[in-house]
Amino acid sequence: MPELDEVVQAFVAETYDALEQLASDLVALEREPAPGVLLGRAFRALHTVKGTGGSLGYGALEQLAHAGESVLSALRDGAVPVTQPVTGVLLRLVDALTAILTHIDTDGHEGPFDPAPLLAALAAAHEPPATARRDVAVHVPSPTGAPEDVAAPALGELLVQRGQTASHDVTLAMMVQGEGDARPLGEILVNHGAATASAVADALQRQAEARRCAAAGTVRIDREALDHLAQLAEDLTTTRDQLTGGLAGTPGAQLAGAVSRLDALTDALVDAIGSLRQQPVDSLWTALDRVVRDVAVECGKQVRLHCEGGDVTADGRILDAMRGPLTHCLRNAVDHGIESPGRRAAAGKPPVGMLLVRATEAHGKVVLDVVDDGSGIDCEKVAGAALRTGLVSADHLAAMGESGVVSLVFLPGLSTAARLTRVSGRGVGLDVVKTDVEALGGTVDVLTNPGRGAIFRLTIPRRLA
Amino acid sequence: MRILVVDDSRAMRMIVIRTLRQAGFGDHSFLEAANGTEALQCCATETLDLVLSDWNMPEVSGLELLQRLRAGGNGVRFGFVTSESSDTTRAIAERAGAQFVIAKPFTTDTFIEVLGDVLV
Repeated sequence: MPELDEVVQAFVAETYDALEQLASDLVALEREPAPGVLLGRAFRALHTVKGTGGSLGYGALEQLAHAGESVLSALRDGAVPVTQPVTGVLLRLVDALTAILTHIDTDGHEGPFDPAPLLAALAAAHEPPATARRDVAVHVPSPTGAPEDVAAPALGELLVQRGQTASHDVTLAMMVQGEGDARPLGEILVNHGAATASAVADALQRQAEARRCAAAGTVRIDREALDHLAQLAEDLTTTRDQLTGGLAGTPGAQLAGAVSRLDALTDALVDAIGSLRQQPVDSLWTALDRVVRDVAVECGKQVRLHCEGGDVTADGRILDAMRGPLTHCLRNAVDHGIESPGRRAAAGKPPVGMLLVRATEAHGKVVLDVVDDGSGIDCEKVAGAALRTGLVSADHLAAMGESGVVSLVFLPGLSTAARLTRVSGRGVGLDVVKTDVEALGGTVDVLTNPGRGAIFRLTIPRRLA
Repeated sequence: MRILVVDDSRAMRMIVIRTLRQAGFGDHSFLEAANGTEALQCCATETLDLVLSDWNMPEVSGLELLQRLRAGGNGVRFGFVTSESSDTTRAIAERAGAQFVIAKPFTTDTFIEVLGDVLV
């Protein structure tokens, strides 16, 4: 892979961030009665993509961002009302820009993306509402219509890793491509029944995440923190000079003093460098609005997401690794936990489900709670499924307390059996959440109050061991 | 000479500085600010010969930056580098006390042409 120009690298990194924020703002727009501030920020994001992208010669980015600006202008001027179809088209724009960016990130070029259909949809979106309404966006929750030639092997790998397809199916699909089938690998796998569409969508998303993490390999350092590091290094040098310069004829007491200073300074330096890696948890949250919105639209549910405790900090590498597990818990809560508006009404609940993501700090760990006010987990169904699939014996089950039974949802294999609650089709179960979190040295727990909701608790260390 | 480049896009600041170097102005020293507030701080503490600023930025926009500088009696040479380059924008910029407006996307030649007289 050719080394990317440093300006392009900076552009890719800042634009990934800007697009993530933009997606979150667009979702917020759907429920914001006074959208001026959000629209202003969204407009500026596209404006920057257009200006900087255009200056770097990225014509498709420039053209698409410009078309998006026109839609936002129409929304800002009130010429077009904010409706789900309009934000849907704008979210498709974000997906397309992200896909192009992913390609730029790989080889510096925009890739073979045809902007025409999306440009047409964007143009239709800021015509009078009647026209816009016909253009109902069919939304695929994958941020990449990624350049498949580059993405294909990795996509297959991702699917095989999680047991979502067999490696010989990937080989077959690649052979089919080799024979001139122009379809993306994922599509071929789905068409041959070798993988589910949602598993492919999920793998694409993880792939984009991995790319973004790689692009986000740069860290901004607070000036004060840097000054502090420099000061520590200077003190270390002074102490070292005292030690090496004055060894001969130095009284033992002074020597011991310098050694203990050296000790303290070294510890302080290690500590200061460690704290540079600390980032606020809310860096995780920008993407969550979008996840919840997409799953809710897909499942015909109404959900409002709240996030709390965003200033709690943890090692940025841990936070990056938590994106996947947290996303899965949210999807799970919307899909399995929160009921349809009709069933909520029948249960005497408000039609809009509440989903809370809360970060707290306890005993040097970060506790991430995903709380929903849905139907909770039915212990009897879980127990029945575990018995049927042979995951536990009847004796074993009888010896388990209720909380033990509920924890069975984290067992691999039960996720397929969980179809009895609702068809998820995500292809990825809570067992993966458990594996991922435990790989970080964390733990998962679940609490439920049948009929009232559930709490999935992910406890993770603040620092990497 | 000391030149301050103001833009909320780090990539754009890099592009502007690279273009300045390519246009033969590499001997000058460059300072950067990521928004209007940072730029105001920089203008208060540094002696500058030129400010090149984006127009559309969060909180303190480029135009506000210029207006606040002039209101505070700071007459530093000031030019916009912006995609807001309509005639109206140019007129507003000049009335506020800007010396020039460079439209994005720009070329090395644009910089030579506009800055040739300013940066000798």
